[in-house]
Amino acid sequence: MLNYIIRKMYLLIFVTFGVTIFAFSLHFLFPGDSLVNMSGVQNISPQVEEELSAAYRLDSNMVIQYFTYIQRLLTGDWGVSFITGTSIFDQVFNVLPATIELAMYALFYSFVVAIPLGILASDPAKPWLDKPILALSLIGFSMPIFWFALIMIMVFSINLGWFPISGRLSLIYDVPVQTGFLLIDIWLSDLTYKHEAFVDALEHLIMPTLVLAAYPTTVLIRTTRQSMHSVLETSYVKAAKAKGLSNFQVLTRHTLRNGLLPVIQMLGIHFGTLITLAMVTEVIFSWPGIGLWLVDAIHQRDYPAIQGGLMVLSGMVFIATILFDVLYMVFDPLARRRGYGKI
Amino acid sequence: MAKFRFFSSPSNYSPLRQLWRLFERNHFALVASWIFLLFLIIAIFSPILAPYSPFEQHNDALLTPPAWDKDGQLSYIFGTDGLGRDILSRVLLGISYSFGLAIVAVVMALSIGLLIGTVAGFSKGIRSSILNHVLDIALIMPSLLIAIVIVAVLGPGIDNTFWAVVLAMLPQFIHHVRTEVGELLNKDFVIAYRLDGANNWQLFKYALMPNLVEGIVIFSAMAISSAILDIVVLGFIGIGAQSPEPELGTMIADSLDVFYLSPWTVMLPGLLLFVCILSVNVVGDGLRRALKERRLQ
Repeated sequence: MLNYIIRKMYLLIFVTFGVTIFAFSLHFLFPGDSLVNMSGVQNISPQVEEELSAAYRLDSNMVIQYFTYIQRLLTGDWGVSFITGTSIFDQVFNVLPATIELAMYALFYSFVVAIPLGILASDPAKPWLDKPILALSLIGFSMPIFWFALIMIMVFSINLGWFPISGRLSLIYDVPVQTGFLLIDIWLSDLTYKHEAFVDALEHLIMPTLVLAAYPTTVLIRTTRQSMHSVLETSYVKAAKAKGLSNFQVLTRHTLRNGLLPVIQMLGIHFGTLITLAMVTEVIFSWPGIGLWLVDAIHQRDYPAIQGGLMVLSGMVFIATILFDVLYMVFDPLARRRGYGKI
Repeated sequence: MAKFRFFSSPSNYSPLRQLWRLFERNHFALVASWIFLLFLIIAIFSPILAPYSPFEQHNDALLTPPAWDKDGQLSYIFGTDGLGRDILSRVLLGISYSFGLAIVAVVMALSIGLLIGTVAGFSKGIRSSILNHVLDIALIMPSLLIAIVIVAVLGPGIDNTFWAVVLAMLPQFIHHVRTEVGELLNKDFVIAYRLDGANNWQLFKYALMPNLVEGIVIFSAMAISSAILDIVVLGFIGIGAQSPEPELGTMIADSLDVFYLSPWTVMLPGLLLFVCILSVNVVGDGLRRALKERRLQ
């Protein structure tokens, strides 16, 4: 176990190194002057140029420049945006919670829906349930997410008028930012219209969550179904049934615990896809998260912002994947014995 | 589970042929494969099939509904968009952009991946370990995110999207080929080939390739669906194919302004896209199931 964690830590260091090297090289890969790309300051005067060159150690070799860059990253000096001239660091961490919030709710929803469906699909007593559920999951898997979102908007926002089309909260409510997670912020605040704001935030949340949840739900249904199938064929389940346990008892005591293990692994593998899809969802619903922000930055060729956004996104995906992997090892002793962890 | 067979009848067909026989039994997948072929034909011949130029603007027929609507015209079967462009022509060309380009991208990634993957599969020691780590990093990143990164660096455009999708899929292909080659190299029949004096090329051609093919076919089928999705999503969020180009995702994004007024401008390209991806997925699924069955035999 310890060996495994050490190996993962080693991978984490390697990954961090790779990501920062990549981000550093973007300074030179992007068009334009590398000093402008590093600082985000345009139209640099000779005097400022001298100061910045000294600060970024541009006179030394690449290795020293790289470590100066790491130092800047750690102190939160990520340069300023071309467009707004404000600190990239502040901007990124302002918009990041919205994305995480959306992804978490979607994940939670897909858990609640997909695992029972997966278990039902694997039930040997109800074979007629299997095919429809699988077909549904295949359809959900093939639906381009933005098209699905547009259909939802057309049906629920325009024709029925149940939910708002875009945004995170109606403009009439002003909630002070504390954690960045809107629902928690509203909960913590002592506003007079707390209740109304909460309901409004929930209404805004429903459609993006449903749209984003389509993909993880289909993946989870398939994973759950497959792993339940393989668990149901093991001898310990047969033994438990032979002892006279009811189907429900077998499910709760034996199959569920073992059947849900691959789900953890699946989460790790698909976390990156989930975050990417969250970015697309944000663009459709104008959800003020990192996806919308990054796409705007790409459109405006705001190179410091693109660089910061990419680094945070990929870093987050890497760390989450490795964490899920370690979590899987903690829960599944058999996987530990298999030794070499693959990602 | 091993099944007892009264009569043992070893089948001497090639693995791919056996796979196809099992695949044919699944009617859903068979129909999907016909649809897939139809899309392939459309993708190749779309410039000939399209009744109008996808860029031609018919100013007298803006936002004409599809032909089955009571206001529709038969000359514009799928109707026209906000600029009076014929949607049928645009959709046909869009299939060759989104679907055809995805297939070309997969073939490209496959050939490069096969080359690097095989070389990597043969290599041992420190070289293989370094590649392992680089692959570890590349595999964690979802392909769409890598594509976004590459497009962000190269700048928007359909050609950059193509390269981004190829590069984003490459690590998966390399990984797949490398693990398969690594596994096969330890099998007895490969060692027998070696002992007979086969060199690496002969080994690859006669021992590895016939056994790699079916895995690659299935993997490519799954890759095509994700490549289509990547191209289309990049087009939709505006950093892939640019506006006048008839790429399906870009078309949908373009028509968003008139979406509430004339939903067919968004729904028809989307529906086609959905059918396209669904057929690819059903074919991939059917192939995978056939492979599983074949392995059980």
